[in-house]
Amino acid sequence: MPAAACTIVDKRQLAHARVTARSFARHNPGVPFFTGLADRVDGAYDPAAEPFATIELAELGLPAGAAMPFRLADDELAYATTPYLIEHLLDRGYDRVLFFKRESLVTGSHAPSLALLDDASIVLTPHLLEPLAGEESGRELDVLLAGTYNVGFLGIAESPAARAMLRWWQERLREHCRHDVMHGLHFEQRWVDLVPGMFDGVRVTRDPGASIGHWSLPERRVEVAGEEVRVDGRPCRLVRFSGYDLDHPEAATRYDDRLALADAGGDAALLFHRYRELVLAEGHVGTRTLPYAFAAFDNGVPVPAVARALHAALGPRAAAFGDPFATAGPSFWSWLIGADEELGGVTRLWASVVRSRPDVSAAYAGADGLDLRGLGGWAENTGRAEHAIPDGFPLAAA
Amino acid sequence: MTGLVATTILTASRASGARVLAESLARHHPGVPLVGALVGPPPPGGLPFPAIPAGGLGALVHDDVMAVCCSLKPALLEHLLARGHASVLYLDPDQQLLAPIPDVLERVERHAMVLTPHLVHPYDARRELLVLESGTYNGGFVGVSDRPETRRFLAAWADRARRHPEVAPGRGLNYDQRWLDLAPGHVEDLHVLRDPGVNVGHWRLPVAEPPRLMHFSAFDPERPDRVSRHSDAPPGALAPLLAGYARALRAAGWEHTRALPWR
Repeated sequence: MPAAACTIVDKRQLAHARVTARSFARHNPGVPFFTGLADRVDGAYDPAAEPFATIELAELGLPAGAAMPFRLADDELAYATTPYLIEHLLDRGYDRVLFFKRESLVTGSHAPSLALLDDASIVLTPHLLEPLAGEESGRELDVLLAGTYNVGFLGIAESPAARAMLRWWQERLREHCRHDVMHGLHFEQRWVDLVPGMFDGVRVTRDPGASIGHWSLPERRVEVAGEEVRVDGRPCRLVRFSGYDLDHPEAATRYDDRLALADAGGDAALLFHRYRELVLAEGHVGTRTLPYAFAAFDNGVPVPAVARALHAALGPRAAAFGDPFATAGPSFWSWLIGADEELGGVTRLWASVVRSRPDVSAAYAGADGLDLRGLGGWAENTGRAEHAIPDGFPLAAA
Repeated sequence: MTGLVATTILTASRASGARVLAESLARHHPGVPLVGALVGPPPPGGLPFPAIPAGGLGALVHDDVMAVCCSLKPALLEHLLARGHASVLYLDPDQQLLAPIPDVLERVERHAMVLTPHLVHPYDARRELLVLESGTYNGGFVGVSDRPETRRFLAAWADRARRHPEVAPGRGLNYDQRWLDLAPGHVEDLHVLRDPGVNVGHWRLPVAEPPRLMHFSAFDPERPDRVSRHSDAPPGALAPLLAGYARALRAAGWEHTRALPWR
């Protein structure tokens, strides 16, 4: 019964995928490793030379109508791709799939993960394995907002329950893969809190060796002896470096400014430094600046967040524009720079920005409508930077 | 030393619901005792079960009665385990047993902890997001057995619930309920009870089969045509059940107790 392992990156994290793939192969020979590319190769690197098999986004069957590469920002797209890649590997005939989110170092054999999948459909790893001692509730509340389970690791076994879960998760992530903790959302991750209640055969593993990361380092006893990593005296098979900034190697993660590596305890700092060296050795300095395929319209103007949101807000009506990145002829681009129906003279893109800013609307409200000269000054001096609107978008409609 | 005990938390204004719960438990499981915790003065006419004064359990002093009642729950469970009960099933006072649940009670006795998810299968994004905001598991049903990991969870839960007696979705808080989301990581022998007919509230509607344990969350006996203040869903097959519950509440003194002060 064949198993497979996988991760998802865009081109700028190729070095991270190489580290995950090579470290997985070292401890798990014979299990193929796939990298889903939430991007396009576009000749920027040679997939055949990589230590993994590349699966391009076009192969994953993302629903065209949802325009996910346009509507979702880079990280959101990579996260939302997770259930599509896993199902794709099931479709290829792999009956057990191990998923590792990017920023993962495999430090041991995943035979225990595969064994769990012998009688489970879905294996989940919780962030926290016990109440935090002396906790002023900060880190526990962070987990309540981010999700009970860390989806840096997922184990999936071919089964009706796993298929149902993947289809459900795909459907939710099409429209709801963003950071909006006020409304119960934390990208793809919080949805998984519902999985043990809604699907059969879910196994929650509390084996600390299944996955460690910044969220649990202060509680775990990490020991490193050469290649061998142990946590709480047991073999550790996955270390996650979620939010670890290679340019700030002494901070464990950008998600918790209170956690310095010096305080992480045990040999954890060794692992972070080792991971950084491995990623740099895999050519990160060269690959980190590769062009992300979905960053810009086909005229080179970067896609601002407000344009992604406007496309999503149009819903199915946006399909009439065709390829959202295209700028020739009648297109979503021409709609964005066309005159807004209410704020005549202002483009639809800028009108959306102005509507989101009652303070600005009030400041430039004149007796005969908006003071366009004043508004233009605000847009160029302040608004463009505050809302990250590229220069290619003028305030005034043509 | 006793086996399983059922418990609930009430104020005098919730006495009619608690009486209906007690009557339904006595009918379907006469061997399971019910011990309540009472916040504030007792209702006229008394209660058909012993009630521990909340003050004796170290109840929070707070202006929000929900904060007081919710934060008391883990402390009450700890207290009953400490009194020697092997297992405790907490039920909100607006629950009613409609049929025997021996299999459920057996699981409560067998596992360190039993929780019921709001949703036992996918619905739609809107309802699921509401659940993510308010908590995966419904706090109106909590089963525990006396194990070290249960005691450890309850102690932390009691501490956190007292420290954060509020609803603040952007901070991960919904009285005591959202803390239950940490239980799968903290309690090895947690049983997630996915029976669609147990702890059925407006969040589960429509239901495919008759509920055995119905949670009349935010039900108004003056509007028996509505399942809950939080739902416009038509009651459908549940209509006779809602009418019956409204009658039972009135027979248990709802008119006389509904507006009683809680302190």
